[in-house]
Amino acid sequence: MRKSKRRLWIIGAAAVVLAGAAGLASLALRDTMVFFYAPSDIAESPPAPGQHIRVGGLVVEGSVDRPAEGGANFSVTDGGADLRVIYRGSLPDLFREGQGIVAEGSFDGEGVFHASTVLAKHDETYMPPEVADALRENGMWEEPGAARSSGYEYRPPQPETSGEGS
Amino acid sequence: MIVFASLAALIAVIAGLFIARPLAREKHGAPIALVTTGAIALAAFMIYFPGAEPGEPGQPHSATVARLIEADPSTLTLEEQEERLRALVRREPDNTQALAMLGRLLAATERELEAVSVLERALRIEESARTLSDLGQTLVTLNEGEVTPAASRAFERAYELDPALPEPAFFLGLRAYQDGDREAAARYWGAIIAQLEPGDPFRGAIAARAADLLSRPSAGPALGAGGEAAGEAPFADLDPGEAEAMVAAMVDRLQARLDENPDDFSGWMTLVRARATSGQREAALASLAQAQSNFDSEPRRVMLSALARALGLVPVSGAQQDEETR
Amino acid sequence: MIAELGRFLIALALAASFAQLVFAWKGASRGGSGGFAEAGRLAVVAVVVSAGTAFALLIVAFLQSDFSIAYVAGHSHIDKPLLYKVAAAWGGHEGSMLLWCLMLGLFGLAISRVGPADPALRLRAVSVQAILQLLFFSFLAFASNPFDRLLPAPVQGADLNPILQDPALAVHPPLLYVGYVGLSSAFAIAAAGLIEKTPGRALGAALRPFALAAWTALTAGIALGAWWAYYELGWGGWWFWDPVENASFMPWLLGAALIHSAIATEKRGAFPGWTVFLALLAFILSTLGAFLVRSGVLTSVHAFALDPERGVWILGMLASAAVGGFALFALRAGSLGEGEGFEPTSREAFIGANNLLLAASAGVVLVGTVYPLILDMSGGAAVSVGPPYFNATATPLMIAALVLLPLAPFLPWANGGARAGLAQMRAALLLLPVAIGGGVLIWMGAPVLAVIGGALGLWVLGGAAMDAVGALPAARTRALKFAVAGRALAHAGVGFIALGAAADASRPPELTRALVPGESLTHAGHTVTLEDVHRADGQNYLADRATLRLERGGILQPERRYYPAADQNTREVAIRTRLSGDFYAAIGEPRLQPDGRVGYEIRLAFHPMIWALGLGAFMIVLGGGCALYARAAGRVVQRRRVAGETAARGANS
Repeated sequence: MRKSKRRLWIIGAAAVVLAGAAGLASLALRDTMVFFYAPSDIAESPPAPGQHIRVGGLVVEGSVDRPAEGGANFSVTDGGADLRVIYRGSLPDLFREGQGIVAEGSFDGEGVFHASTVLAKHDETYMPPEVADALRENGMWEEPGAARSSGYEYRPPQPETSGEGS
Repeated sequence: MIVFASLAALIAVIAGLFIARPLAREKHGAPIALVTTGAIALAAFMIYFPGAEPGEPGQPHSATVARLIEADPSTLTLEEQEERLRALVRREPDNTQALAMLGRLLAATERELEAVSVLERALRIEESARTLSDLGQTLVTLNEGEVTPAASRAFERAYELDPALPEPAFFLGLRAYQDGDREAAARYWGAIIAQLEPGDPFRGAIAARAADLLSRPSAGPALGAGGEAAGEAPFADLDPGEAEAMVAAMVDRLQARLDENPDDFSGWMTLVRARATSGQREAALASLAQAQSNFDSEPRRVMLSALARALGLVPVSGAQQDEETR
Repeated sequence: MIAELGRFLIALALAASFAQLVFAWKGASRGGSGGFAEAGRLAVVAVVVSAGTAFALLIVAFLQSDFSIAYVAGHSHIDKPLLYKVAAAWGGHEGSMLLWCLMLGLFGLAISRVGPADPALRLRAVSVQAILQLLFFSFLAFASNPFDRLLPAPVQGADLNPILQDPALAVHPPLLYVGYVGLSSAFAIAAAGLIEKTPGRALGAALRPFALAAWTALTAGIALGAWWAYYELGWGGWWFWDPVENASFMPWLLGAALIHSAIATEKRGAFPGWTVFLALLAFILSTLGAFLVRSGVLTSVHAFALDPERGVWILGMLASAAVGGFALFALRAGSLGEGEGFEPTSREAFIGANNLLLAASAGVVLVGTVYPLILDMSGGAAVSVGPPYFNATATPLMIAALVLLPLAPFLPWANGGARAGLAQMRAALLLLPVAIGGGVLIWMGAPVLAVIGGALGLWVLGGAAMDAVGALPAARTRALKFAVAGRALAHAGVGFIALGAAADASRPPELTRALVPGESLTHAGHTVTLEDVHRADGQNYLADRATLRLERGGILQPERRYYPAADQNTREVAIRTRLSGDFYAAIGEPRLQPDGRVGYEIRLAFHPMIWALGLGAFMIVLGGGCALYARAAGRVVQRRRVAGETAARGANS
């Protein structure tokens, strides 16, 4: 009698907590999930102003504008379309033109995208998976070729020989 | 290879024996222990082999450096040359020659930031016109062609130390050009051309560059010094009709101005170029002849004939062209 | 030759692991003694010596800068400072896998020396550990060999990622790995117990010290990582709910649950099945973490070299461990037995509740972490799950756990009954500081979450203090004293972390503005003036160093560095620590002003009371250390008593 009663207690408590956690998780997931958009998705069907989204793509060469007061504005592309990103923070150290980045933020009422965070990867050979997918769809991304078995990070210096100095 | 193989075998057998020894206490222990030892050693070798390079000795960096320093630099790749210079600098931190060469090499391989730091280090030890000039050029590259105050300080000091060095004078001229003083630029460039022997490749190169820069329309978009694409029309993005009209209007204005003020060397060059590129070959040749008669100093003539060659107004001998445009 | 010898030693360690599996298994079946048992024990020694020597050889290769080894070429440079040449041996994937494998061996050795008292169980655990060793050593030897050659050798290396060139990060991976891999020994003992049909209570006792050691190291490793992210990455935060962070947080939560449920199992035989299940799950989640971190299937802000092929390997190892462990559990859980009964107000009940909440937290973190992955694989939209989700789910669960935490030490085992009333009275006393603290915070206008967190922090701290005051004098033996001190310290540490996190929730948003020398900027009541920016180059980097003068006195000198060998910029933030919090400054890119002067982006942030987080982590680690010491001391006493009794019996007969 006692044993079964205890077991009932335990199972009851566990059920309540687990149900609570599951409910919480699914509710929170629905409300806080951040969707990823490629620039061409946005060109097709722009998300509502204020909706928190992630945008990713390659930083367009030459598109980075560094205002005097700090921050940076730049365009990302997935090959299909470009998107201008306005960012007030300090760019991550690994931010480079031509490289894949992910920006998180939202559109304002005038259709301008303001990023609250810009993620650039520490590993410069890295491509955020969502960005890689988006680029693949647009044929701008090739799988890294048959590198050596374990994909070393070694990058030999790439000299662009010119006559100078020799 | 043999040393390694025997050492590895020894280690494997010792490890095998170490593990298998207690097995000897069991029933039929001795053969089990022996088989185990053999199996462990064999397994180790079988796991080892895929991807192994047993014959390749290690290459500690010190050995690599010793080899590079011994070697004849001309047989080395660019990377090896760089490493050789770095090793020399590490060994003799005051070796300004190595520092200067390293700096130049870094600048040539688009690592300007580091090049600036290395050249500055060389200059702190010993001032040299050549190094100063390299520093200035690196700063110019770093700033996308703009001769910044820091770069121009370096060139000025280099010019002071060795006025015969062509690069500082050329970049001081470029500075003047970027500031809008084309006449001063023409003077600087003319002075170098005057100094150099007629066969010197620099002479032709500077003349060609000067001709390109001085013949650009000064009212057009500020092209700065960047434009490597010589002869590219600054209004290429307009539609042909509009462009033609604009060129014609510009040419007329320029002609009128030159009639008043025939000493404008750059103006004459611009006029020749504008006419040549808009297809008025005869008019261009006439203007060229007029300019040549207005400016009879040797360097100016060299610049004018460089312009004429670049525009195809006079026939070019292939070899000379190659040499001059580098 | 060093490289090839290292490669050979890794192969030998793998071969010896196989011998360890076979002989320890056979030895265990023979009751844990005899030649096979001895051979199994010696095999662990051979594994550790081989792997240890291989690791030492790798360090030697780094010291020599032997760039004919691909891993060295990829992670070192001749101009790198000595410390980081050594630390690079575990700074990249291959080297860290070697360290991971070495630690697996070391924990195998620890099991074989100080593991479960029952010799058959101990040896069985050694042989289960050998299975894990086989999995990871194979991965090391065939897919992540740090001694793979790169021929012809480059003349110079590519340098270690500059952000990893940091003292905290030199020790962060080894600590984290002690944690992750330590959980493997709990896994091995749990699985061995199921095979041996060991009663739950004995198994709980055998598990606990290993789980405790692992969890303590994991805590230290995570704390160091968070600290590093805080000051080295210059992002101005310490926890981002990033997949890589979650990967370490899930095993931590389960480890925390495990060390508590193991107490209940050991002392009272309560929840034996659950304890064993946790021990299996915690290591599996560690491996899942390694998979998430190394395979690059999720977008993380942290740095790792990624390789899908490796991801498949790790997934395979994960699947083997999970399938094997859970199948065993399903078959044998019945043999663990059932504990004695307890009342809902007993300590067991509270530990059970704490376990439920911790496990549920780990569950929601897991869901949030892998949901984007599952959605993506099932062809759904690409999404990411960020801090708002985790704040909405894990935070309430942890708040509930914090409410219960201080009460448990006052509750008796088994029967709540009579003394429960007393416990409630104490609880009422504890509410006083909470009420005061909450009032003060509200008065200061802090956000709701900060008020709740602050009040709970004080509640937990008060409970820990009362626990120490009440229980320490009553503890008679040294072991008991340390056990109580460990408990109180660790609980107080949790309290401090709650306080720190609450304070951090009320931090003002950071400010970035380009300043020209001479200009000032005000943030969070601090005004700073940029005095100048000058060059401050180091051994292997170029740097701009800003001098910022604080109006309140003192200067801050953040740097922006450029590492030419790696072609990468990093920031060294400058932090002024006071009791009220950290004032944090970083220098960013230069910005040309319209008037032609050059300005620099200056980023300012204020982190209120962030020291509480560090202090809390330190106290938890110290508490874990005390508890481990108590365990060891208790063991010695027990052994002496047994030895004494045997001696006395010998004398009597």
